[in-house]
Amino acid sequence: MKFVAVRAVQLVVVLVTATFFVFSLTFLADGDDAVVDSILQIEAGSETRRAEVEEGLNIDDPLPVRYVKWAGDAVTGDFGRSYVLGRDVSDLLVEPLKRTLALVVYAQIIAILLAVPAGIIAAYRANTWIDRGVSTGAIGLLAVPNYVMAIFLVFLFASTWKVFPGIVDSDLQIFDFKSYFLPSLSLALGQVAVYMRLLRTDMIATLQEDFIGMAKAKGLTTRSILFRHALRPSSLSLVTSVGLSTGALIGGTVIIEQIFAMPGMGTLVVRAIFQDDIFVIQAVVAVIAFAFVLINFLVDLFYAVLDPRIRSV
Amino acid sequence: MARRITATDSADPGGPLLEVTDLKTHFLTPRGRVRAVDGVSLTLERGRTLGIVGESGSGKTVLSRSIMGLLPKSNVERTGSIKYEGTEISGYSQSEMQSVWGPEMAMIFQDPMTSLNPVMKIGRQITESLRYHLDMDKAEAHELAVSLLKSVGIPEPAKRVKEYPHQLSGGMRQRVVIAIALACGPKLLFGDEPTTALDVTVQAQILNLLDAQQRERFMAMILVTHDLGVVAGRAHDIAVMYAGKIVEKASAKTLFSSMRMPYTEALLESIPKLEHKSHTRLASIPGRPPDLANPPRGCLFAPRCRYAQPQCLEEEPPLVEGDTPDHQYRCHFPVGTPAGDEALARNKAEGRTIHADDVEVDVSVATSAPAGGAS
Repeated sequence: MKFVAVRAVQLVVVLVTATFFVFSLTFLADGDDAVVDSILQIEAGSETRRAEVEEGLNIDDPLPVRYVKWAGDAVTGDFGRSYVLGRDVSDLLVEPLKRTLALVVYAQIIAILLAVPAGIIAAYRANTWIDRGVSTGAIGLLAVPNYVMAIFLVFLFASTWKVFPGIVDSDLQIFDFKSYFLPSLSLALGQVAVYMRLLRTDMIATLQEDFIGMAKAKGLTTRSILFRHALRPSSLSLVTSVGLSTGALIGGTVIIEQIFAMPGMGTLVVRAIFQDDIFVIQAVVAVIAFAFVLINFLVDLFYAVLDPRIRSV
Repeated sequence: MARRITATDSADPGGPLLEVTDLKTHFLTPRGRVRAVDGVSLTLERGRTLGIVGESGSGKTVLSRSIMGLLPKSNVERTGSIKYEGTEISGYSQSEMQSVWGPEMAMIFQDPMTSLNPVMKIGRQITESLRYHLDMDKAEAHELAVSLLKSVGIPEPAKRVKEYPHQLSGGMRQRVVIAIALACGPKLLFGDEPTTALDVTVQAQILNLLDAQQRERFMAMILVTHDLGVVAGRAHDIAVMYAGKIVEKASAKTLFSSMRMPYTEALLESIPKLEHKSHTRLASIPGRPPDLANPPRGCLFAPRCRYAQPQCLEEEPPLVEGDTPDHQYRCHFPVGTPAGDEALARNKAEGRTIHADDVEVDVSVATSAPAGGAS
């Protein structure tokens, strides 16, 4: 429990630091006056609104005070109001966030399902033609950018065979697996190579360990040796990488979302940037930072699940 | 796939448990063919203990793994015959061996700090082979695991089954390794330096435990060690290995009372003795074992031997029978014989023990080319 408590404190510190920088940067970049100007311009409001808007931004307070006020609202889910769309930012955020998270989760599941068996086979048959074939194929996938992969997959599955939709509904539901298939697969295939290589390397090292020789001398089946004995101690790098790339993917699905016309976080933030929708940008970055930190916190906890020796530290 | 070996049914129960004939195990390395085991024959009866003694690189570990079939297939060439309960097992496939490993043969590895899976509970590491080989259900296997841990002297076994290896000391871990090896009731147990990695205080306990278990289960045991002291008083027979070959083999009593091979004598002398005064220089064997990828002509021990004569550097001595039955050795000038005494006296008179001046093999060559691959 002490382990969890220590990590939880770290989580809060990292989160505060990240959001503070985001909060400061969005204002510092243009300067407060520019922000107020653009709000008034969009609202077509009169100069009499200026004082109101400035108060809403707490413009007279020092930066740390403004951050605390913003953060205090943010933890209750209040990220302010988009002056471009005239709606609460939190309302704008919920559905796109769910869609993007679902996309990333599905992509990771597909990537892991492909990478784990491939990595195990490549390690077990290291330096044979099986290993070389699997490794070369994986590198080939890695070399193709995911947007090229997406277009290729759309051509194949949506245009030619017509089995999966190439464009998703504008009110895409997160359990609409059929619509999610192509976007998830496009993101997943690039990850497969990375995960497979990491697992292969760790697995080759693990297979040299005495306890694997011992498992063999017990007369266990090869499958049991690979999956029960070797996989878990070989998966720490894989888990780290999955954690980091999950965070990166949440902020990096923009292009895939555009290709499949998916109204997700990427689409939301691109629009916000072009329209100077400051509160939306702040909220999106805060949410991504939170997700990033939270996922890596979960990864740390997962290490302890994987390796009992970490628990006693 | 047959789960249980069928040898028990077909074999003559009166025959030896294990019969190894002219076993060779060569590693094909970029440096060439490393002859880690080079023509070893041995026989082991049920319930007997055979000690295999030799220094690092003598091939004793490779021998035990080769007999058990645990070496990788690629770049390893194994020839010769291995008969277990009268059945030839050297041609067995990996899946056929899987039914031999555990219920028939088991191995205790050298280092208990690395031979247990660090991320698996101890209980599970014992029960998995019980469940697989003996078709036990979860409860039965758990119960047997607890009683196995108890029998190898682990306190609070019911609590320990739920713990991970890192929660146990080295000695306790080796007891767990022994419990795992004994789990399926093997008829033949290999101990590969089972006490080398342990504290001296724990070594005797572990050896006594092995002794007791062996007697109780009427199990045959092959104890591989570099320490003649470990097998003294424990092994019925001792085989001394050098450079992949057995250089002397006898019952323990004969070996210690009338050894013939200078290497055996040198090994025995290198054990420090309590009656020595403090600061007595430790006896050691000069040089190193020969490079097994490029073995010298003649007797492989000759470059390090104080009895060596010109003949030894030219002609490899065959394995000859000694005065008593079951005593065999490879030496032209055996210890304790007139020929040996004379050879030693001649070397002493000439003020040197190694005849290296008129041949290409000398100590410095042997030293600068350590044996690789074999340990």
